[in-house]
Amino acid sequence: MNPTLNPGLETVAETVNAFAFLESGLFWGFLGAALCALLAFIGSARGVNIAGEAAAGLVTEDPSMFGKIVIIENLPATQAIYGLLIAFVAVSKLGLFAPELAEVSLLQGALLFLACMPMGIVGLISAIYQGRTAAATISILTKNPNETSKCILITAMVETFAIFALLISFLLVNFIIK
Amino acid sequence: MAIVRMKKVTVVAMAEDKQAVLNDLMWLSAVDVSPLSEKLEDAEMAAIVSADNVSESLDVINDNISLLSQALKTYRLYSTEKRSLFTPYQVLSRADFEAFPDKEEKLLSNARNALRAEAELNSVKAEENRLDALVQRLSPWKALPFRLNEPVADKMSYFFGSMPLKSDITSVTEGIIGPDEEKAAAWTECLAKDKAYSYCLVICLASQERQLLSALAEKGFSRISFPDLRGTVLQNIEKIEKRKEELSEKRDAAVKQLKKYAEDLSEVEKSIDILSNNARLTAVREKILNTQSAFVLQGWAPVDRVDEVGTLLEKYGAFFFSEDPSHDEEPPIKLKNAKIVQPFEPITEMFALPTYRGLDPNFMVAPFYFLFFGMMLSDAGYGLLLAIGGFLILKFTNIRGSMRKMIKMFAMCGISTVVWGFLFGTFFGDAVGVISSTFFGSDLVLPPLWFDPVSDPITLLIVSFVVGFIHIMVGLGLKMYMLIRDGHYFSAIFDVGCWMILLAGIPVLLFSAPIGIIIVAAGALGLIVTQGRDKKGILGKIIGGVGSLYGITGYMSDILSYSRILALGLSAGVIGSVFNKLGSLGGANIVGVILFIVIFTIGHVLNLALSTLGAYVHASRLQFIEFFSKFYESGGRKFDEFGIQLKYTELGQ
Repeated sequence: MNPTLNPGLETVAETVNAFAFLESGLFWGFLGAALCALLAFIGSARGVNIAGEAAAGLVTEDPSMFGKIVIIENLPATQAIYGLLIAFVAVSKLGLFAPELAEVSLLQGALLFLACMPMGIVGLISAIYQGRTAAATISILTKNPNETSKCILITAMVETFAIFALLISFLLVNFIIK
Repeated sequence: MAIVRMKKVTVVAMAEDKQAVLNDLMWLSAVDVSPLSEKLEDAEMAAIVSADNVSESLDVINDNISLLSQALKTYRLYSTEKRSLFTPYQVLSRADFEAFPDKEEKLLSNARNALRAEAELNSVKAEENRLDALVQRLSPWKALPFRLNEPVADKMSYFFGSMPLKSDITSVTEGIIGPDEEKAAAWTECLAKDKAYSYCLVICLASQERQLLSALAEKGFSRISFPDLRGTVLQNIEKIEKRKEELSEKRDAAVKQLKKYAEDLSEVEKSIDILSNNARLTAVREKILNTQSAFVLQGWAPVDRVDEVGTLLEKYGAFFFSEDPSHDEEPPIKLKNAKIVQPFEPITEMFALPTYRGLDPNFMVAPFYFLFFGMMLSDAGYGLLLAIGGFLILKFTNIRGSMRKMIKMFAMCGISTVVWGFLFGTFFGDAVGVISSTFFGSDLVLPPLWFDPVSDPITLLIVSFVVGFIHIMVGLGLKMYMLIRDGHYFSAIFDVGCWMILLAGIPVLLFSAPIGIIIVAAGALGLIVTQGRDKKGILGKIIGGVGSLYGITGYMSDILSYSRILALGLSAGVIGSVFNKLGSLGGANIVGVILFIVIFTIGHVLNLALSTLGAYVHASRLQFIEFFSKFYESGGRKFDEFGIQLKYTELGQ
């Protein structure tokens, strides 16, 4: 198989050849890890952004609330950490930190890809929802400045599902490649 | 483990003793005074009794408090005494309260004067700033030969302004201007220069002034004028300097004055505390009722302090009696727990206080919270930081109240975290292994005392379910205890007991299927037979009974929820390891060591903060949703004792 890409793609055979990497387990494994991190990071960025807009509003009115607010604003950031965690475990299973990359069959690679998806997709969506919840609880704080811990708890309830996604992704990634 | 028993106390005393009785009660700090004013809605009662109207005197006190609080802010800026978390509180005694009225007027007038001095100081500062800016604008024109804003000669005019260095002014002043294309007749001189501009004077024919200005504006010239000034620029600058000297004297005087007033700092702190308590003493009068010659006060007092209230009132010859709460009354809630349980009280309080006839769950919340928190954070290094940091804060700072309890709780949970960290073999993630292999080439690792959850997550998952199972069974046990205590024996056995039997059978199933099935079946049968007992007709009873088995899904999802212990434990450990890995990528050289230290510090601080928050939140959640739903009756009102409350000081003899 010719590893170099032919820009002309003159024959069907060469076209097939150019996509040979799709048959590599490593490709699917790394794609899963990358997507997992990517989706979770995007979710957290959006989530913190939504919460941050509400937070900025409250801090304008009462700058002394900054310390409390910044905790709530950052709650949707955990999905990014979980995404990072799964991506990291996945790439170390693929041998990125070992002297050589691991031997991974196509099936294993595809399974690894699937295993990363719960964390990636749930991370993306739950972080955004958590951001909205955080924004809503920040409006509680405008009226009752002493209810920070309740606000944190309400917001953290959404994170439960990201934690479950983390759990299932971790167990799957852990068992696909020993 | 207890909700403090309360008695309802009623006091009737003479009107002339009112102030003294209330004051003594406040110093006793034992009674939660109930408002009696709602009795006044009854017209017959309203004809005999009345409540004091205290809003005016309260307003006076509150105005004084806000005046002093404002002054306190200023005093803090100018005082030589510094206040921080490490300063011990000043001691305030009852004698200070009694001596206060003599000092009050002096402190208040000082505060007013200090605020005035501060306003003066601010206006001086504003003027200084304005003058500084003006001098700066004037300084390029020191060499200007004219008096400002005075005509120089007939038909002649002048103006001045700044010109960008890159433009050439003479191209305009010596060129052709205007619609008639006449030659400009102007003389220019550059008086000063800085990095970007030259400051130029232009003398011209009055008739050409406007055309010149517009032509120059195109080249970037901007005219500067000082419409309010008269005389030469130099004279003006001299005048301003003189004024600034005056201002600086004024300013020194004001600062000196403020420093002098700021010596009141500690007196003012004491006064604010005294005044706030006087405000409480005044406000409580709205809650009591007066007849012409007597007054009546009602409230709740803890059983063991009722006698103290009685003794106190003896010297006034007051009528006093106490009674147990009747069934339709809800006394306020005061919790009393062992010292080791107390730090966990804020967790329960955050959810809600128990009802008076419910159960104080803290004695069970404390051990499980301790356990869950430790399992979720599960890093010996983080645990040490929390425990040592927490106990240092408790030892050396003056933080008090519920914040102090919380810090104590975190410090205690730190101990649990250390234990679980060593059981799982994590110390700042896998720092021991990474450091020894990267920098010392050895294969030393911190071996787990029990097992490593990263390589064996299923074991931890099972452990999580087991502790979750125990937690839920304890919750059901508490429900059963409450039902038996209140005499509902049938409910205790059928509604709770059958479920406990059924649930207990499930783990047995895993070891011995036949015995497990028998236990589960017995529990299920019990439920089917008894859960429809309120329904009508034999069919209704059977459907009710069988339908109740659906509740098993609730218990299953509750137990699955404890898998978060595994997830959070893993995430704390693995993220710590991720940072160690990233830090070690530099290798075993000097750059690598620096890189490792930087990444290690930043990474672990971040992970510690996030994981501690996660453990705090989710350990609470397991109490609130999974545990409390089994038995907890919440909704009590906090015991709000009528007593001395201090913000800046502490009570002493």
